[in-house]
Amino acid sequence: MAKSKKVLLVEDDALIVELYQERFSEEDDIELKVARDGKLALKEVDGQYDLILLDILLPEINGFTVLKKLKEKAETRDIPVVVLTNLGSERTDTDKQVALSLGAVDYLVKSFHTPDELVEIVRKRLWPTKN
Amino acid sequence: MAKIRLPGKLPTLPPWEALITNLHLPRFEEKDYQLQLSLIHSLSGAGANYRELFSQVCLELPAILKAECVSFVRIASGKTSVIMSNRSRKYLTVLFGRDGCKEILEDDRPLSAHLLRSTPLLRSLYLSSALISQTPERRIMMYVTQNRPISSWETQYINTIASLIGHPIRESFLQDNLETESCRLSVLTDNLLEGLAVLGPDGKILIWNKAFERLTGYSAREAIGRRLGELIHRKDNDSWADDQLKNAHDDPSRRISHEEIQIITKRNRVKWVAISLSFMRTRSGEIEQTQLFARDISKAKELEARKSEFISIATHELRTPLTAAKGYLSLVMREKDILNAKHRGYLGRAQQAIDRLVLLAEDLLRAVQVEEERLNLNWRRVDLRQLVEGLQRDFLRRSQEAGIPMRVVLPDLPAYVMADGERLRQVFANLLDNAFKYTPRGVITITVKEDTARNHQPVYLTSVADTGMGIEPREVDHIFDRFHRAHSPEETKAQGAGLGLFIAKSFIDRLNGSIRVKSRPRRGTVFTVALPAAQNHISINKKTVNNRKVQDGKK
Repeated sequence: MAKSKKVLLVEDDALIVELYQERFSEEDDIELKVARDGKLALKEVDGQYDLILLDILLPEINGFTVLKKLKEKAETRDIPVVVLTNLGSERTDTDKQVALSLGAVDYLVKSFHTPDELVEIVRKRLWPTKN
Repeated sequence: MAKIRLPGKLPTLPPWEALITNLHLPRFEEKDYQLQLSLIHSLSGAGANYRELFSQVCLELPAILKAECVSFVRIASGKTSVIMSNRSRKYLTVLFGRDGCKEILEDDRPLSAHLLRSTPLLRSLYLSSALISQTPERRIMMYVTQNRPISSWETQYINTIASLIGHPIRESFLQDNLETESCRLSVLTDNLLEGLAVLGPDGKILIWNKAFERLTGYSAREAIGRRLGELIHRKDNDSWADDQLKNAHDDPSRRISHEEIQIITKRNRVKWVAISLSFMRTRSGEIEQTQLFARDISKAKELEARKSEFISIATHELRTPLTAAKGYLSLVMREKDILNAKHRGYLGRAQQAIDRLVLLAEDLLRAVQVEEERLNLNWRRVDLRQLVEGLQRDFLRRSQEAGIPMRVVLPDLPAYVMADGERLRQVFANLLDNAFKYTPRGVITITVKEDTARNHQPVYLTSVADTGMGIEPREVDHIFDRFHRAHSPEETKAQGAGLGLFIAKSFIDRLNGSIRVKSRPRRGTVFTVALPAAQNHISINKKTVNNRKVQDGKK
């Protein structure tokens, strides 16, 4: 089966990257690409991507800036962005609001979800009409 | 003893007997004590010269002879001697005989020797007590001696002389006192680390200490006499200082306000300061004086910012390995073919341990954040009515779009509580947000009222009531728990780790308040927040209302 959906993971931590790469490799219809920082992400992303998983604590430029830039460019504006971060409960309210107001469609805390759950959520976003 | 000739010619003195005769003095009266009066100096007519003389002595001689002050005036047998001390502690005695100034004697003997020489002295009540002031260095005393009883007329003369002589002495003494006091005050205020300023009833600056100079860049000279608003510029809010004073003016119950703000100094630097204003009022509530204390908290703020940064980094470092461990464990758990029950048991335990670590990390970081928030809180008096009205405006559009009207019931009098206004607003916004989320149709009511049922501290109750889906009874008990999320399918927003109400409860608890919920499934829910009223709150209490100065129309 052809890999039908392309997802960009913007994440700098090797541990996490490997974990998600491992898990997503099991999904035949999802192709996971990785960008290790914001600059690379912005270079890599184009209209071909169907979803972006965006970390916030990134080297050089932080995730919010990347998010803003993504929404400014015409060809990337409509790609749904799910913020996937380590910033947890103590800042969830403000960071979440910031993320959503910048245009993210969702805000997930990494340590609250297993890889399986993450895939589930990503699937729902990629194929919204499916049950 | 050296003798110094006094320059110039001095007027002659009239014989004192003649003075007395001319003035028709009454018979002398017996008094309780004997005073020896050698010379009575009248101040009417003929005495004017003498008055002049004395004034001259007091004012000119010290200057001529470089005396420090007139320290003694002694009227003794046939002579008047004015004793002055000069800077090198030499005593100059000017002797006035009946026929004029005799001589000036320079005397090395200390003051006490003069005292011993005089006839029994009395610190008499006749002599204006203002003259008699004791200080360690300067004693102003008047010695009067007389060999017969002294009459009230004579007393008056002595008084007048004393006051004439004493007047310049007293003036300079008071002046010295004032300067000393003023000096003392300056020393005190200038050595304070905190900025101290005092405003008069018109809001103009009376005192501005060195610390305030350092804080704002404006010197005392530039500050005194000007309005506070000309010197304290709050960043983004130039009328802050004027507003503070105006609010205090409008609200007589206001005593203290405290805020952390950023100010722009004279040289355009931005500084964080903690400012407290305290208002002293007259009985009728008018502001008599305003005291300001200010501290530079820039360093503290910087520290907070760095702590904040540290927390961000720490969360990342803590959570990443936890996420990875949790993730890989869950992946392994899926390999059901390879794992037997024992393996799955072990791995299950590991997963539990990891999950506990995740929660622990949450708690830890939350605790640090709470501590920061506590430092960050902007405590001030908040009027719940204004808060609710603001929320009403904020949610108006949502209310219109959802077709669910908002009803607001507020008391007539201000409902003051002490809180961080912004955080409190967030709590109520959270409640309102939930209300709208879970109410498909009906109405949402926000009420603020004073809880008069209790017989202890007055309390304000703010409730948010909806006619929505309600909460299942078994959930009601857990609704304020951390990570609790409603399990209803209607929940569209997937995230938030269920912490909104938990955070709200923590915050309200910290304000010594309480938050409760009552709900009926499919009928509606009411959240009620109880908060203790601020000091000097305006109660539905006749006594307080009558004492309050009514200022309607002034706003």
